[in-house]
Amino acid sequence: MRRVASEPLTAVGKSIDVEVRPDPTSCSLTATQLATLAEACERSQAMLSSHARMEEEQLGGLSGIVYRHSSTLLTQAAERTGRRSRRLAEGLAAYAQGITEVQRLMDDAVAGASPYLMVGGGRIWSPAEPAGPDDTRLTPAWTAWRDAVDRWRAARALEEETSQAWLRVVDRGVVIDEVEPPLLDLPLDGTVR
Amino acid sequence: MRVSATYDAVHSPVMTMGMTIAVDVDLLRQHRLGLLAEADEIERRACLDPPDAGALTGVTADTLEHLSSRAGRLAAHLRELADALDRWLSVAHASDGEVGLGLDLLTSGVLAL
Repeated sequence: MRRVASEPLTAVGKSIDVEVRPDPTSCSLTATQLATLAEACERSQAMLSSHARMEEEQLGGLSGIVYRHSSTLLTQAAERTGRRSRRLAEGLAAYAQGITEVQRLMDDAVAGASPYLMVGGGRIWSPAEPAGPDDTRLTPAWTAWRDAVDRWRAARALEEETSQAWLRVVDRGVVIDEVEPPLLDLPLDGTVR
Repeated sequence: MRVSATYDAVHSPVMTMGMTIAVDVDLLRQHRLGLLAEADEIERRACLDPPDAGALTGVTADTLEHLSSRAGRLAAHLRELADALDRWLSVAHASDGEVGLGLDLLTSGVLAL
């Protein structure tokens, strides 16, 4: 956080918090990991799907039926896990992008305020309100304060919107069917389990 | 090498009931190895670094942990199926002389694992 070089005007106690706490870089990194996991699940899904289509001539009898059934269940499990990974990857990437924009807006607020206002500790402090438009000492600072507040409001609104979007992605996963497929052992056509 | 690999096998005791199944042993061996490779890959990719998401760090970490567990279970199931294939080949080997001979020739690498 930058500190104004020249002597700031009087701070009168009001302040805005311009710190952005989420780290978009770490969010992007994890989003990439999630996308990679999704790709791995999708590859497994394709492989299992081909196993599930194994011909009767390649593995026949009850063993073949059970194997194809188990492969089908695992195909579905891989598909669900891959889809969930993909959705989280996209949601977290969007969150990281949103937070990056929030950080940019906050940086703009700080840059606009620094020449006129006290900036420090993650906050921008308000000046005293000028008595009138002729107050050449306080009016520029007051204008800078109002600009900073506008940018801060825009940033916080975007942060809230971005956070809610990410929470919707996270919440959606809670209601997803979590039933795991039973894995059947391969019988030797009714004799061996 | 792709061995001819399709066998009509009669298993005991159902062998006496005349049940016949076809087995592409070479293909099953490939399936088993594929399952194990995919299990390893998914397990490796399921290690996710929880990000700093500010106030949402906790809920994000919980979600990622849940997904990692889920992927871990998927990998475990893939290994179970690979093991089931291995057991199946072993039991088939033991259950029938003729098939056993064929399996022994074709899947010695698998059975030795």
